[in-house]
Amino acid sequence: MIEIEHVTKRYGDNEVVDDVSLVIQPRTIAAIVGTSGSGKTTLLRMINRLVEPTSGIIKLDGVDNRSVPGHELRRGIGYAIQGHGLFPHRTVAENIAVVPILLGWERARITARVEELLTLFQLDPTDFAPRYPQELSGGEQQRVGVARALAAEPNVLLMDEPFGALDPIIRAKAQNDLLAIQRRFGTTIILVTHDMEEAIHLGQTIAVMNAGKVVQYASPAEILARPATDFVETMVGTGERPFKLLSLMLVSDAVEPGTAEGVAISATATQRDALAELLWSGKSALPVTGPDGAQLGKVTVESLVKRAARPA
Amino acid sequence: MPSAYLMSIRADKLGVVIAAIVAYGVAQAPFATFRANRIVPGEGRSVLEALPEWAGILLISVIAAAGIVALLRTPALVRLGAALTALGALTVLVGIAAFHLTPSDNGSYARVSPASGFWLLLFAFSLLAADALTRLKLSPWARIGALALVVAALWLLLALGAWDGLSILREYAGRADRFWAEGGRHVTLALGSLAAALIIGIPLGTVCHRVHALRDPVLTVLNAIQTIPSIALFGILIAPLGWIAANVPGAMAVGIRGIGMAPAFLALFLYSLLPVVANTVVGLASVPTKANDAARGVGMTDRQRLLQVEFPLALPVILTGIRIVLVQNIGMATIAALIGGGGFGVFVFQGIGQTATDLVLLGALPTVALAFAAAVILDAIIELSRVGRDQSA
Repeated sequence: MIEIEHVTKRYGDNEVVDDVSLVIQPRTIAAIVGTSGSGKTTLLRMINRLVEPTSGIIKLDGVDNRSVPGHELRRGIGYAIQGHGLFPHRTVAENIAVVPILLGWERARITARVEELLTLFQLDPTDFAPRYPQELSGGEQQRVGVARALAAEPNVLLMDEPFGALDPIIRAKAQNDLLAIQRRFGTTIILVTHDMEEAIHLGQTIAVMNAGKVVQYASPAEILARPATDFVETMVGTGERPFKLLSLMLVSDAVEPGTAEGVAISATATQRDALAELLWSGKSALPVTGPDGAQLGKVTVESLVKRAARPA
Repeated sequence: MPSAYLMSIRADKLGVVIAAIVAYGVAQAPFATFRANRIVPGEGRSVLEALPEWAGILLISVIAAAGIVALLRTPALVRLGAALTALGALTVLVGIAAFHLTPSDNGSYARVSPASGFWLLLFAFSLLAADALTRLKLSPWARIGALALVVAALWLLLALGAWDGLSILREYAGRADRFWAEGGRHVTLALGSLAAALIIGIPLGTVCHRVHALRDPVLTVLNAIQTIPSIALFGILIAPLGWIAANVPGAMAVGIRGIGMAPAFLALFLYSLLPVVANTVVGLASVPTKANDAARGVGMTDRQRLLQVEFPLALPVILTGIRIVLVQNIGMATIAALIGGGGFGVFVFQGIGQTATDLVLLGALPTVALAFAAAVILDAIIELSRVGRDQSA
């Protein structure tokens, strides 16, 4: 659990982060969204003390983060940044091994961990371990950056616009990989982004920041349904609102008894994808199949349209 | 295929220049100079006059063939082979010219030295060899290997006595011990002042990088030092060092004097500081901010970040500064002889005093060779230090 209590960061007279309090539950992903200059990156960097707060306290699992020297604190917290920040003079394997080496792990354990992570990120260790970062594509560099952040098995992972430099297709894959890894390790992830779509897709909770303050901290559905201020409403984008709401729910929750003609939709797809498929096919209903391929029923345009309406 | 045929006989741009120099060097300029004794003006001798008939014809044929290879568009390896063959023939045969021209009766006074034609040909074919090596894009280790081969070939020619008839080696024969002693002093001055500049300059550059307020004043002072002419700096240092020698106990014992090696060493050290400090500052500033941020983010201490991230990434730029300093110091150490600091400059200034050109060359040629070797070796090291970065640069 991460508790941020009345944290303020002032540069001169300028309050970059202004009296922010947040509690982030363990094993969840919290997204901090805001425009540039909103203070979201500064807030993130105060958690691992790359920036020291002017006032306020940040506790990690109940312990004040100032109870150990900054560099020791940071060795226990994963840190991944936009454009990966890999060390250009070190190989992929050496980059991933940085924190374990700082922590004094044994050679064999480090080698095993590097191989495990490369395999996990679908990078063949024999091929990728000896390469230099310049010899990788943008997507591969990003994966190595996240692998490095996870190398020492941290409970907390801080990510600053980790997908910002990726093209849309690679980005979508990287986001889904991150969700899978978070589920696997149960890491608490705090992710800074300026992209509300990304925040809704990844975050179990979203903190919207504006001018140094957190203007709303809630679940994605809540943010969509009841934006606290005009600023949050603008960030969400009114034109896309119903579709974003549908993207939070799975087809399995909208299945009705009965049968329909056409290409079946998976129960694990989002309702947004189902609606898109229905509209595109010109049909009013399509069959739904479970993960095992069994027919579960049908999904209709009518029911999805009802679900896309603003929750009461 | 007439077009392909035409392509193959098109002239090489640099080759035209080389061929022109070669043609002038063979046909117009004297190959060797003959003098009855070491200070009278010499008389030029052409290739055919300077060499026995067979050797003259051989040399002209080799040079003509190599000149044609240079002129036409030929593969780099062929050009290198032609250049090396011509250079080999030139260097061996100039030694034979010396024996051939020296009369057997009063041989101990007569002097034979390479003349402008020889130097032009040497320059032209060195240019051809250098160009061919560049086109071959040799790896750093291969370049160091090539340098070692050249050094070995020169050593072999010297050891076999191929040049013993040449005037420059007769100057050497009379002062062999002195030559090596001054050579040692020269290298000590150049490398020692570099080492001192590194010990002081790299930490100074690091501090300037961290403390912004220091950077401009320090670089301005070092820049100002750089603008003082070297002879003037030697002069300026005589008074304070003389005072220290006279007044600080033990200073004399460690070699501090107004003249001699101490002021020369100090002057070279001061000149070395600017390139070392400036390149350290620029190198550290060029480290990507993302890499620095990541280094802090993964939990490196400031010291670990400096040693494991900043210095390795700044190394190619710092090494470029070291290369500048080393080549500059090897050249500038020559002037140390003016204030009794020793080095190869001793022969240069003696030679100027006695109007003995060959004695000047005895000091100048090893200096040039040392500077050239230092440049080749450091260029190779710089390339090796660019691990993982754009390999082409």
